[in-house]
Amino acid sequence: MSSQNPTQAYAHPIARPRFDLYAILMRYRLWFFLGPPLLVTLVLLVVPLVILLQYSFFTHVPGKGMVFVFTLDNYVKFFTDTYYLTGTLITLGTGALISVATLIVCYPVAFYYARSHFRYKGLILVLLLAPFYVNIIVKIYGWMIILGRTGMVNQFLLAFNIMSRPYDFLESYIGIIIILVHVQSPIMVLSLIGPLQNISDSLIHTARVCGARDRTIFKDVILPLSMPGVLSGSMLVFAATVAAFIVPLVVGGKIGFQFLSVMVYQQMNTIQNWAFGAAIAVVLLALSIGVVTLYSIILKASKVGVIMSEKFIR
Amino acid sequence: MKNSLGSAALGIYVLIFFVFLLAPVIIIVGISFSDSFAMDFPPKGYSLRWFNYILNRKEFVNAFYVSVIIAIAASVASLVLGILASMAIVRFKFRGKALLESLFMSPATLPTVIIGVALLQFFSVTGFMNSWNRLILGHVIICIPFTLRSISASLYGFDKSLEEASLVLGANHLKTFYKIVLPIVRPGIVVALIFAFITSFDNFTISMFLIDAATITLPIRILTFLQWQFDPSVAAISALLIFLTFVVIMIIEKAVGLGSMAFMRNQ
Repeated sequence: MSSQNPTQAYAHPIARPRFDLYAILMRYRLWFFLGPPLLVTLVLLVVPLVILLQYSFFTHVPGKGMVFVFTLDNYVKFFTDTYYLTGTLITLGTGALISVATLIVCYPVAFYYARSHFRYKGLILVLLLAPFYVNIIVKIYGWMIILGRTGMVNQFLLAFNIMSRPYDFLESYIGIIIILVHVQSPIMVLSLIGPLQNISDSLIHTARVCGARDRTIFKDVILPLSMPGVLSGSMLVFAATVAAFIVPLVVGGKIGFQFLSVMVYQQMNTIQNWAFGAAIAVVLLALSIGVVTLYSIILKASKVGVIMSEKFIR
Repeated sequence: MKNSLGSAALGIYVLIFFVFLLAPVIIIVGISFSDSFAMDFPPKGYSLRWFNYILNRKEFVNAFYVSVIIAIAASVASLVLGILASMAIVRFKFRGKALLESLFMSPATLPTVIIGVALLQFFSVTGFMNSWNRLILGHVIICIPFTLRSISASLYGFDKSLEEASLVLGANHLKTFYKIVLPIVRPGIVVALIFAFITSFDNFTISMFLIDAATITLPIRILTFLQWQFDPSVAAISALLIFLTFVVIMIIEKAVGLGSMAFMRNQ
């Protein structure tokens, strides 16, 4: 019996339970784990995106809707009409503007958090993340109260005679800028804090001992070493701004409707030209993938610099 | 900084920054306690009448229930999918793993409008189901990146020898998963659930494309009220959402610390 079988004599009796559901699944274990999420992602993300791409090449017949005839008209229309080209420029330009503005606004804050020995650092993090997690509609509503025709900013400007009539920030580009900077600031601060915190004190001390002034230390030591945070923060903000939908939909009046994301929504819901809406969506998708790819190439190149400087410290 | 003047200026700047960051939130909370129709801040008198008002408005209460039901369904489903996906990615070696991971993470980086449009067209092609199911499925797909990220973070930090010890000592794989793996990964699961819930509950863009008259979610209800009714009632519901957000942040801070929260958001 089993005692005569030399291989079984050494087998641990309790290492082989009688029923092991997991063991049955072992043979297909990878697919057991991977299958469901992959299936869901394929059906709910990949297939819809393929359909979107396909629709962008279909013909729109006014009054009849979409006809399944191949055409490049949607893209030709997009790239020859100045309205849509202006929209593309506004979308990308706002992305660039917001990422630079947010960087300038947030760098001192991240610097303060990372380099000072403030006692309530945890509080700063809470105050940073609390508005970050408040629903974006709520934030927009708050700004509507502040920036509206009868809002605080206008009351202030009128009281000090800076303006003679209330200015409608909410119908202007300024409103979009203010709200987007507000929405994106926490992301920027969070991406800057990491690299700024990693700068070794001894490095700054060394520079000071060698006679560098504060300005030189900042320009030649701190700023270069914080570049990864600057790049990743501005990438996140740029990508989020290019994809921004709710802010330009609600704020900014006419100029808000020239954001590609809002154009997509209009084509789908108001104008009901699904083929052209799909084409705009594909352009927007290509732009945002392009932005992320470009930044990650730059980021990879800049990481080399960080590793080198870390070697220098040691 | 040695330069005390510069350091004081920096401190003042940081203070101004936080006034800017918190101004909308503080003003909404202030106005929500107003006792009049005026949108003055600070309000002339204080009362709870606007909270009472919104709690008796069917539109708001219904929209809140719709949002909660969809968020619960979407977060539970995306949690299960996230656990499975992160087990596959952390525990197995296979070809195309990096590609699959970025596929699972892509809903967090793709413009949400595009996912919304694509889903709208997909559901119209397939003639698919009522708006409840469409909304839940649409929210599941944008929640998966957040559950995947927080669960794989806790799986990476997991000491595999504990699992091996349990197997050697006679527990089967299922029992080991239940008794050893799950308790250790639990904080990750809690965070994943919270993030998935917030992501779904707050979502505006996907819902905008998939709702119908019966399934108007709370963010969209708030938006329609913003456009038609500019009185403190919206401030009251917004203030409730703000309180909820603060409670959630406190829970996460207590459970796992705020460091893990960075970037767990797409808008």
